[in-house]
Amino acid sequence: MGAQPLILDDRQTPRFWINRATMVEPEILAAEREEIFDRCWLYVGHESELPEPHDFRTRSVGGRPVIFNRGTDGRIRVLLNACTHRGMMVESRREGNGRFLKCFYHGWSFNSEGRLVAMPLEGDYPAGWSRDQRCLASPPHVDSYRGFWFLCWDPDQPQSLVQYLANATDFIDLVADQSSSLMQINGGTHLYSMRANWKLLVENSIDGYHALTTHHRYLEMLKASGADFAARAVGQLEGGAYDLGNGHAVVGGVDATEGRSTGMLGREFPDDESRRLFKERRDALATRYGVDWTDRIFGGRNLLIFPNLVIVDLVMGCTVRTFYPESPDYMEITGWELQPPEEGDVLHALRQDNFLTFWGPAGLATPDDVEALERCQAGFAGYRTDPWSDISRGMGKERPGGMDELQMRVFWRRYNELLTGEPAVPETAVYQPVARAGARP
Amino acid sequence: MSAVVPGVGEAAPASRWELRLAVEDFLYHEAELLDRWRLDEWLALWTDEVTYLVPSTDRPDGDPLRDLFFVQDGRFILEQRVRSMMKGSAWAESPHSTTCRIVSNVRAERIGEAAVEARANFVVHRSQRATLQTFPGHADYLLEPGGDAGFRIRMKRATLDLEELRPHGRVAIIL
Repeated sequence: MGAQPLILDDRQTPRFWINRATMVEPEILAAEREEIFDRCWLYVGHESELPEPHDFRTRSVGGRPVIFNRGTDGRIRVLLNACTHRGMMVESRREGNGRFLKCFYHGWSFNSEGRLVAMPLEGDYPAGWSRDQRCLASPPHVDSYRGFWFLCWDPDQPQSLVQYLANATDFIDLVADQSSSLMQINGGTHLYSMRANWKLLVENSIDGYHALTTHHRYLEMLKASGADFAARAVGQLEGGAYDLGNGHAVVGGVDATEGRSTGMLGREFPDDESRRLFKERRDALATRYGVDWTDRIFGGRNLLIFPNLVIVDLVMGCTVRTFYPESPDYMEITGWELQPPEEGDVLHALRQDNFLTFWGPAGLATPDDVEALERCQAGFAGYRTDPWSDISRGMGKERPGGMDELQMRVFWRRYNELLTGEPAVPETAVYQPVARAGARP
Repeated sequence: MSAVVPGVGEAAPASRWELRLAVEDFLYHEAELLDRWRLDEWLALWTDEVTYLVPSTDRPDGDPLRDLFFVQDGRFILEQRVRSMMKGSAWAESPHSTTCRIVSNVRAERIGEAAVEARANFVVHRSQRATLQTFPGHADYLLEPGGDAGFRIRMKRATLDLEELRPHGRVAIIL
């Protein structure tokens, strides 16, 4: 990486600039792989994706193939998807249910706990060779928080998952608390990509400033549907950006409309019945958790768990996404829909409609984000002439808002810390968890 | 084109061959409107009640009431989708990309008195700046006889025969 600074964090002027070399240069991606993806806790999947014993999902986490599964014993595990014999990827299906994981190359079979249970011609191995020594490998650390499963490839990672998540746990709670059992990932996954650097999607996922222009057509659609923006805005209190520690950040609001709207985005209720059901559900949550916490649940949030897990919960719908660089200018993205299973058909239909109208590679919003980020990447070809991107909005404010860029600076300071060793000095007070009522599963 | 469709409605029973020919003509017409970005005319091909679906690549047989799709449009959203693309506020298709649709393997079957089920394979080639993307898939239609083009579309389910939307990244065009 040489002598060039990755960021320019000037508290005097103040200004915050990002070196576009971080978006372009292969050496920097190589350093990111070593210092970020090989070190941090990374999202694997959600518990609801594995309802039954022997259910499995295969995916790539931090560039390594894994099997995310539930064993005969009902426990969730993460196994390295590489045969211990000669390294072949054992399971090539994206998802399924099976008691055994069979490698067709030489016929080794593993059970759902990863133990080597059968193989042809076992007797010809030398004395002392044991099947027990050839179980499928597992990441050194695997843990979950409220249904969200993570792994860490670094045996020396000093922080437990909960320590790593720091004060982001409050915001995961605001999502998980929407179900009295377990939030549910829907069938159907958005497996897409962008010809852009992965950090552009970090920024974009927590960027309030771009909405009015990039998502002009979505807002036009809302207007045409009769959405009353003025009424919605009245109920939005204390929206802001928060530093959650460890590079995690959030933009979130508090909704005080008492159920009169589905949030800042989303279409109006189609009829009185759906309005009534929505209010009923909101009231039930208020009974369980208290009004303040419920107003926050319904305020929505764009949450970044460093480095690459995003939960965007806009009340009208909730998406979970993660993404990895294949090269400096190309990333692969996986997007899921998360929802409370007890919502009922009417609210579910409303949620599906609002979700797809906004998100996904064919929504009325996401494709325009894809276009924007791809054009940023194209513009970065000139980075030697103008190397600096600017995310100074709201710097120096005591309480930065959702249209400011504090949340991105939080990411970049942690990023810089991991790559250079320069300590990340917080710009604002770090968000502190709040006490709340109600029992949780 | 005649408003009376062979094999449908009051017309004398016609051969499957005639029905398929009429459906093929209609699908070629639809493809031409989409390739020429005559989206207002394309929208006029639909009945009042519309369902335009594109399932996610990992749930090609998914149920829109349960599974996450790419597209699940009723009339209002489909109109908004078309309007934004014609106004130039859909940045992903502004300026419009250049597309070439190939429609093939057409089959059609009469369902009751006033409906035809049709299925066709499609390949949409999409060129934008220096990239060429290929969207192969198959489309299931529920058609009703009528209109200047011979049929109206009540339902179209365009299933991408891709395992991932990579490296495409998006389907901002109509399939």
